[in-house]
Amino acid sequence: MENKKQETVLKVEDLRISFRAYGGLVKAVRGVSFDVKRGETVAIVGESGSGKSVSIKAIMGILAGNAIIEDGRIEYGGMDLTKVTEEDFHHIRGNRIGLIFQDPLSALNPIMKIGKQITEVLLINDKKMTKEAAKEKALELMRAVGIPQPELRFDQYPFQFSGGMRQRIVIAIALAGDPEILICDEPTTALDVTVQAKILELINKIKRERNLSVIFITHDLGVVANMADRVNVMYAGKIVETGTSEEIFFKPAHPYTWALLSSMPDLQTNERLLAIPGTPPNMIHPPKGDAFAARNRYALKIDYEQEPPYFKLSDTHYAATWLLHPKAPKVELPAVLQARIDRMRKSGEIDG
Amino acid sequence: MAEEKYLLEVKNLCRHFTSGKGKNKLTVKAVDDVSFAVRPAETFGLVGESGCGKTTTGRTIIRLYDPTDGKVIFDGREISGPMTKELRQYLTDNIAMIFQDPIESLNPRMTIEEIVGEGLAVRGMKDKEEIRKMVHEMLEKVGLTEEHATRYPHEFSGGQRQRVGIARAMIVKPRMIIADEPVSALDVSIQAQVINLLNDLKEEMGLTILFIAHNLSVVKYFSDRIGVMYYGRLVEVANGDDLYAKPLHPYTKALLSAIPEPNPITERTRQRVDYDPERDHDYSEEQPTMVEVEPDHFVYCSPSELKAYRKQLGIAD
Amino acid sequence: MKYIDHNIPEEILNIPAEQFELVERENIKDEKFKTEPIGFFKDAMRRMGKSKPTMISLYIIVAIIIAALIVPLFTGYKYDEQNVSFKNLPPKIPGIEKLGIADGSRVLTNRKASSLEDPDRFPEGCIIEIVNEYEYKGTPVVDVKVDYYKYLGVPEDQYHWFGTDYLGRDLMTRLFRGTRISLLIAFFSVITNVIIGVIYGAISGYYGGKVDMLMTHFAEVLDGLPYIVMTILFMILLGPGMFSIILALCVTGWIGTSRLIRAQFYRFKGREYVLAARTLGVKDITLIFRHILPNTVGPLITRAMIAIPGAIFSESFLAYIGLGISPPEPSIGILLADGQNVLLQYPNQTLFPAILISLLMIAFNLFANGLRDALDPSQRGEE
Repeated sequence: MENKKQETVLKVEDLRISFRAYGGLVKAVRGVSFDVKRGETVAIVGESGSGKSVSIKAIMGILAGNAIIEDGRIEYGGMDLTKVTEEDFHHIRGNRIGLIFQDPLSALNPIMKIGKQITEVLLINDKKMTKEAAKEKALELMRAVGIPQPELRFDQYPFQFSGGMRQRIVIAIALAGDPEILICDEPTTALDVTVQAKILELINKIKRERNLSVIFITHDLGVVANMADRVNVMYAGKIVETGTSEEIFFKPAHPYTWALLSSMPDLQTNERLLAIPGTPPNMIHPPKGDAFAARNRYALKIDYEQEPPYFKLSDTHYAATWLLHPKAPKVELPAVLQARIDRMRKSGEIDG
Repeated sequence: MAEEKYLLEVKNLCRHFTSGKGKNKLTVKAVDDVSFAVRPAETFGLVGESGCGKTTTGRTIIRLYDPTDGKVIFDGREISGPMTKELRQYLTDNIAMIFQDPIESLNPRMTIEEIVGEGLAVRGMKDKEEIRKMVHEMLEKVGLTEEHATRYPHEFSGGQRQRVGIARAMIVKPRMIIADEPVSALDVSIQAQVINLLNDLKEEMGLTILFIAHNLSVVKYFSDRIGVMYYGRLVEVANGDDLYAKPLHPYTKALLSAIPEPNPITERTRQRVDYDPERDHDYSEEQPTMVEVEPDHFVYCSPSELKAYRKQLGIAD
Repeated sequence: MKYIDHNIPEEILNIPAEQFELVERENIKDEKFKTEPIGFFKDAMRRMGKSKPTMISLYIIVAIIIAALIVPLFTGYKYDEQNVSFKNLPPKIPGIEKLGIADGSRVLTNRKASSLEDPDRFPEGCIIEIVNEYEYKGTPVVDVKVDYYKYLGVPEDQYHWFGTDYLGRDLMTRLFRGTRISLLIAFFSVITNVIIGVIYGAISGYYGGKVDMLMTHFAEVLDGLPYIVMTILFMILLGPGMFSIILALCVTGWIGTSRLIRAQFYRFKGREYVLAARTLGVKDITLIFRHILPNTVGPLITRAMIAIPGAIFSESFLAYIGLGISPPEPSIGILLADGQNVLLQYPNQTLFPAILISLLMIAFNLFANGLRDALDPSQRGEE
């Protein structure tokens, strides 16, 4: 990894968030810590209900009304974002942290011209900017995100755009405040594969050009491999494994990561998939010990008793599983996964 | 070549949607001249991006929509003709469908038992006890328990609901299943459960499946042969390995090149191919048709393109 | 939760080795449900029970309905029992009459001071106080507050809680009997409207296409005709009476319901579960009544609840313009219309029906809102 990227721009520490719901408190996030350095992409991977989106909403200060931040800090620019007032958040959201949503259609105002939606953000963030200057800047942004004929498109409405083009507009709006962090919440889930590839390329290009830090939320490991420098795998409100892309994909240590990696077919898969049995736990009553134990093929007795700490594998690679304890039995990677990893490494060598 | 026995034959199927009248009349050719055939006990995958007509194709075959033109033949019998009571009965006895959305596809006001048992009740089964017994057996097969039968859909997770949907389709013992994006709305870890379940049931019951999805990796994994659709047309049909190893149609190539792989090494160096029909085809002089380039590998191309493809595959004219 | 580097702390290192045995399990099954199964309506009722305004308005509605049923039986008067000598009596309620309100008193203005002495005109003990004294053309004149019941010679134990009307009929009896009739008219017209609207809207929405176009156009034409003219024509045709009022309220009243149902059908008929049922060979009629209609029940009940105060108000309005039910039968509208004639002299005759109709309308509206929220499937399982 390059050494210049050491400055930490955002640091989340032991974040705990619950939701009031019928039946009790849903413990959505249960002690999440991660940091984001300048110019790097950090991915948070998890299934729905794993708490990944909730953590991000807390960073953006857009948690639902029934959410309670029970503990933890979100350090950003010398502030603790869990304690910032709504007014200050307005400034942070527009200007310093940009957000790209999953559904580009609902993120845009259907009855407002595309150009106006971009200039509006520009004008709010810079009170002194003239309308002409804002339009100039907006056109520039539209060009930057790859909208053809921006002058023509400027006066069109969202419904005249395709899904991919809408997502480009959403990215342009996110960039209008010239943010230093870009949060992408499943930005390509609603898009077709070919469009998804283009949008991911765009996000990567913008990141490089502007030296942005990107937090990338997704459930798709394929997308992660393309985007991320570092990966955090979340399950049941916790990060279960964190490491660089290479570490997560080639040396996964947590059984959940194994399961995730081997449960999806790729284009060369022929053997039976290793499905994760069962369903995620009810987060009103999170299980004692390791939340994944009930679905884990390699569950140990202690998994039902005590939560595993993060065992260190390398300076960047930690995993919360008792399997890494010196007394734990040596468990081999599932054969399917080992075969795939070998194959991937080989193909990497040939291509690279 | 000897006439092969197919279970389902789709011949020049068209389904157009019109809106407006007179000058403003707008015709959308959702499915346009699509032909393919599915062998018994085979899984045929239909892949394409949103709006390419793959869902409409499935729904037209099972007659949720009436075909605008073309023929669909199931086991030697035409099922695309005028709808009669008898034909509806034939269709429901032979073909069942699994839907995409695990939330939308179950009636929120009915219990699981009522949902799964409805197909039996419609078929004139009166004995409540017997229906219940069969429902319980079916639930067991898809990995649910008796206890689940009295519950309402909203109490289930997405994967469980999808399994209920599968149970509903399977309980009537159809010969063919049309599975329309059965896993795309599910979480990654749950998708594998459902795919494995479908695979098991397929083998156990000797099912023929038309598998419709946008995720080429899943389709390739699950299907014997794959048809690639683009804007209402089938552009390439081949068995899975051929399609992956030697794609011919430029759109297939573009699709393959866009699929993200969980491999950070190749992902960082990936070369994506774009598809632009205007640029990639010249159909001003020659009309494209569906041609069998090599055995069981069909491409939609013009004669000159065909030559190029054959050359590429090393086949002499 | 802590990070551990290569030096694993003692307490973790010392966990006994047998804790690190792999757990053998046969099949990992889905989690068992921890909750009781709960049906849709049960769930809706539970949520409704939690909403205070909804429950309060429900109690008010129930109380008014009960009152409408039993109060006329217990007042001791008949709704059409006239007593012209005791007309326009002010309210007099036993118990609180001593507090100075509803004590049957009234101020009589511009009386010759000398007439106060005349026991024929002012029976003994009926004068409570003299409010005002002045002279008019040399004659001393007074405004005097009297016990109006004694003044008219009403027997000692006769009470009219809300007073009497211009024919001496007990207002309370008439008001609650009127409420009964107004509610009856409202319920029947709303039920008729709902039935017509559901059938019409269901057919139009389910089949769509040409059928829908024709049916929608017909409804539009009907809706375009001036409502009042239609109603008046109807009343002239059928003559006054409860039945013709109900019919009159139904001429165009169902159109809104049918539009709602049609829209719901358009929304639901393309749902995957309806398609799934179709592929299973479920018949149209079953699809309509078992798969689609139950999902429209929420908005439908809400709409019906909102329509009830609307119908009460329409009935009152008809009564007001003289198209009410035939006398002597009362309705809230008729009472209001009658009371309005003497609003300045005897405000009590307008006040009580006005309070009741306001209560009814507010309660029904609040209750309808609460029901709508409770029946909203998107809020299932939430607080």
